Amino acid sequence: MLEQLSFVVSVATVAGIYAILTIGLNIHWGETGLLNFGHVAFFAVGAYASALLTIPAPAQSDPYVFGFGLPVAFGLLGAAVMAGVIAVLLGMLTLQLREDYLAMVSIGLAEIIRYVMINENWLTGGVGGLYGIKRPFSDVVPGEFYGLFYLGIVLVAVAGCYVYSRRLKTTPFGRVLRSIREDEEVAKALGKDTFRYRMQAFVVGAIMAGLAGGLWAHYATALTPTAFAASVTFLTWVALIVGGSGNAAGAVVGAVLIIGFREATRFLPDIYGLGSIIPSLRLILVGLLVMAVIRYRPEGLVPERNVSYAEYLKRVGGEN
Amino acid sequence: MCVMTEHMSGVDRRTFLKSTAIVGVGTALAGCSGSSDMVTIGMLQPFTGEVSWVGESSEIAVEIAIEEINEAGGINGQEIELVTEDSEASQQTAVSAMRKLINTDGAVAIIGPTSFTLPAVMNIAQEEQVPQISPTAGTSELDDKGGEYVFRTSTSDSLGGKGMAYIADQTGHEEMAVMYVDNQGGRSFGKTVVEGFEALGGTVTEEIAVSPGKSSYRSELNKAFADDPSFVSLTCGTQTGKTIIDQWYEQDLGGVWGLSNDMQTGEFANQMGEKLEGSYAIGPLSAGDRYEQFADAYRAASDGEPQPFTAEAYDAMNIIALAAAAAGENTSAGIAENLIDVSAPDGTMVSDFVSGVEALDNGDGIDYEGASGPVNMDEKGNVRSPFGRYKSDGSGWQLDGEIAAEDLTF
Repeated sequence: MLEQLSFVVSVATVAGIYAILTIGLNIHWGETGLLNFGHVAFFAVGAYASALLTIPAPAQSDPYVFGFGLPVAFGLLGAAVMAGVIAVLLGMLTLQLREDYLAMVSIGLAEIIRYVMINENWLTGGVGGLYGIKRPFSDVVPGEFYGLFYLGIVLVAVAGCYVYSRRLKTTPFGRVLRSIREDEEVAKALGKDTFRYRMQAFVVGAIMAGLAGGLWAHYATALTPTAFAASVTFLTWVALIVGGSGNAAGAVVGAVLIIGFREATRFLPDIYGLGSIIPSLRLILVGLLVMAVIRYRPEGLVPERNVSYAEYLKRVGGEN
Repeated sequence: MCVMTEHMSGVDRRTFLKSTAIVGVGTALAGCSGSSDMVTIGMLQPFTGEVSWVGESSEIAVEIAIEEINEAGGINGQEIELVTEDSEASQQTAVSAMRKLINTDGAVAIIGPTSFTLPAVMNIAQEEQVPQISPTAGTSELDDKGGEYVFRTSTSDSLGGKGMAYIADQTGHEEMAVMYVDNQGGRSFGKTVVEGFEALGGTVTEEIAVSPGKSSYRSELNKAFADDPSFVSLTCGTQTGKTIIDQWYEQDLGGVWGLSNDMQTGEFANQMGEKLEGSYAIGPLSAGDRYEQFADAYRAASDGEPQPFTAEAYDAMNIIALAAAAAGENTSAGIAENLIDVSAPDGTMVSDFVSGVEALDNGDGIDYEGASGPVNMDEKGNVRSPFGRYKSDGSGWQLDGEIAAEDLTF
């Protein structure tokens, strides 16, 4: 039974990591309207930060120079902090520009980060990457339950990001973000320093992506630059669009659905004569799913709900 | 953890899949698959994307080996069934695919994947104690890892790179420039050329990573030849290689080339003609008849020429089968324990499954020599194959010298 379960557990773990990425992207795009096409950059920074903080000091033959051997909790914290710092640096340059500039620059950032991963051997181990990354509590939790245990950690992180994201719907901060998304001039006219708010949203989303990166690093136990291709960004976008942007539940539903669907199609019957096209067929089915959703439910499977003023007041517990 | 006998009980996989496909992931909970007269081998390779040829061609090669083995009555009385999964050359996908092969399909051994995804799945093989034999991962990162559950029949990029440095040194060159295509394989190869040549006392004048598929490499060439190195090592595919060598010839920059195995094909040497005369290439030593025999079978099965790594994939399947035969049981543990034994050079030399089983039945130890070469695995699960030094005579590659695995221990 456990044997069979571990495939589902591994799919769920990967889906959970993508769900965190998607919630982060939802704060960028869904809540604030920041067109971020370089989400994988924060994912990568988080993964490498967490790996470098937790791997043991390098041996003579290793190309990299850092390795702090800290507990995994510090690694994940460092992942979030580093991703946030990168977001601040990028945000200072781009967030005052119109949104399409951010799209371009964020793609550029993702490429820069990828080339740093490939070229800076002293930091990242280059194309060879980093191996032997610790798994938290792996000496305490028995091997056969470890998959489930790690899934638990990922789910706690998903839940944390989800709860934060839900809170945005009722807080003044979230309200300002949505007003920026709808019409930045209006927000400005109300005296809001929109740059500051955009920056905060950008950093929060990046921190979530960094956390997802850290969780991926300790799950895979090895990192190479090939894990951080642009396709990660676009899969996250697909998840957000299918699930429904502007809505944390939509982000989670989208990520689980896209990853789950992609893996479930591995069980397509192996019809004789179709053998080698089955893998391609699977990906075509995922594409069809995306098209169907966009055609019939353009706002996603779990669309954002428009909240009336009265309902809003009720939610925040105000009078009248 | 499911004990091995459970893998061999339960429903037949095909029936299992057909009856439950619609339910999707939920089926994974249904029970161990694989039937009592079948043993499942998993294959994890990219079948989609730009390296999809790797999956397609190595599946053909593995199927050839499986057909031979099944015709001979299977391993320990069980026929082999191959289950393939697409890694999509993505690490995040490969993790789930690997889990499916081991946990849902009950594969006792995994063939694959490539250097792109191997880092993310190695720990699964280790954890689940299922041997994984990659015919396609050249990454030098694997040099000092593996051995217990992670093996490969492909040679490490670091050996090829050292071989290239050795060629330059043996042919009397003291200064070398190194050019390599900017991807994982190119870098891993190029870096070891540099390290190897410096270890041999040579000087590397320039090290240049080039992007593949450009229409002009003139500035890269000018940089590479700025200090007039007498030897330039080039690691890239044939398309990029052709452009670079054409433009080098146009500009009459001098020196000779040392080309990586990607370009060590008769077709390429012929196409480049006199431009390459006097240049070198490193390539596998032809395994002679054994390779030709495999190549014929491959042509018959696919109406195409064998691709790189196909002989390695064929050999991977054969040594898995022989290891299981040596163990007397089709279990992951049995295969993992015997893989190195059946490939290492002590025992009766055999070159296919049938003669291997005969020798084992006689109580002999065996040494499998396959289509890709001697396939001698060391304790870290790496093969150390000899290389050939090839020199162009203006129309083709001529074998100019042999490089034994022992020559490359610097």
